[in-house]
Amino acid sequence: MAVLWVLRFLRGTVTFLITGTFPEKLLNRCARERIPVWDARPTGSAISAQTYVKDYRRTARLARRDSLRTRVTARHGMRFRLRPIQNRKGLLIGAVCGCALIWALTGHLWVITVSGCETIDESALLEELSARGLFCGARLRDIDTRSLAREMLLTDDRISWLTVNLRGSTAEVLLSECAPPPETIDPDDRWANVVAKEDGVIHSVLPLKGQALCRKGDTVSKGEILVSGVIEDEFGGSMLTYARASVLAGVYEEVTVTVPYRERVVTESPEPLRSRGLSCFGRVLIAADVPREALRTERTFKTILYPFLTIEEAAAYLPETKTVERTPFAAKEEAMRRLRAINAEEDTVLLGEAVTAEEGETALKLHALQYVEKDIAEIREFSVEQRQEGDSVL
Amino acid sequence: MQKRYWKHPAQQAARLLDLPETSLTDGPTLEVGANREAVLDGCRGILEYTQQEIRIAVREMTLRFTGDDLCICAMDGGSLTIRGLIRAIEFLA
Repeated sequence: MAVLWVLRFLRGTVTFLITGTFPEKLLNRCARERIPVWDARPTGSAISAQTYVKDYRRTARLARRDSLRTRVTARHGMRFRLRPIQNRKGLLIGAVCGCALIWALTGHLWVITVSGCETIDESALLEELSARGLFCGARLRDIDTRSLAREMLLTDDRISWLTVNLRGSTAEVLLSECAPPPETIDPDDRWANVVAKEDGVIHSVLPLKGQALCRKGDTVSKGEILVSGVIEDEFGGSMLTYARASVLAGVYEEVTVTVPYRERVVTESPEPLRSRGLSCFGRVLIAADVPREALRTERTFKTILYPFLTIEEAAAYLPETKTVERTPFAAKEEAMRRLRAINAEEDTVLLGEAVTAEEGETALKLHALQYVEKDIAEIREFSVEQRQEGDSVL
Repeated sequence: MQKRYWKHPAQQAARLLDLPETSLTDGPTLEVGANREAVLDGCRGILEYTQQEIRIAVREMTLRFTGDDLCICAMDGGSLTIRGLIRAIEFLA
């Protein structure tokens, strides 16, 4: 029924009134002449009915032949709806131009989305795709998604799988990155010892491969072999291996931290500077309040206005430079904070420390003698020739 | 003497083949949807049309629909659709 309504709306219909003697005659004639007539309703001595605009003239002619009269009482359909705006040429031209623009734009690509990038730089990938014909504004019929995906897979070793789905004017690039090969930690063609990289007292030795030459409580000096790559058996034979071990030792360290009383510090602004910019084909046209570079940040949110126009909203944390004035006490606190940061950075366990502060004219110097526990194991490779020549590897 | 009802050979054939009589003859067919709609095929013309009564000429007889707010909704060739509150359908010879 809805289809019929649409067809009638497009073709245009009229409601007409049949008056005269025996108006049913006209309905019979219309039926014989195959003129479609519907919604025939008796209204008093007359009959009201509907027909297509195109068929009304024939109906009226048939009515005159039977000495009947017809009169149009209502008109329906698109042509009658459009009649009031027929003289408004600008509106008509605008509508036609709009339709033409939509038709032209739907044949091009306007949005590219990439998903699956973990280590690969998305912008670099988009540049590569652009060089192969996938860019905003490209004609859809020129894009061969299969060959594009194949080329990308052949040229970029980091990609294990890639596909490009075209949905209307949007290209969806889905990819999966290659898993990196595991690092070879136990080579067959090389041999190594584990040596101490610093002086210290051994707290624990955990040899993963090789023969341990030290134990808990031993004092070792820098360069001393802790775990040997030469494993000797009970029969006097030896076997070479790539020794690996975790050796925790107590080590004395001296750290000096200097904190000036007056310092210029560069920090990010606590509140972001928000702004909006209008971008066309990836180029920022209008950007208010925030520098244009700031619009190209990770904190940018895009709103697609039209296929080629986007509103970019930026939240820029601009650098702020300020001068910090410190009292000697505040400087000491800051120095301690920096000292703890150094310890955390080096991944050491602090076992004990002696701290002395030296107040200068412009800065405070903090000397700390720390006793820390850290891994002092260092792998040092050796060659077989070296051993044969008599150099001590044990 | 017994009266013969099946004069038309097509009617006799339809009876023999166990088919509806109108499938082999060009007689009118009437399809009624409750008392709200009737679709008539094989209409030869409208004889009378008011909201309370519609008389239609079909082959060899006249069909009379009586009711309230009757309306001929569609009319195309020999087919005709009547809608409204149908109270009675009479076959007048």
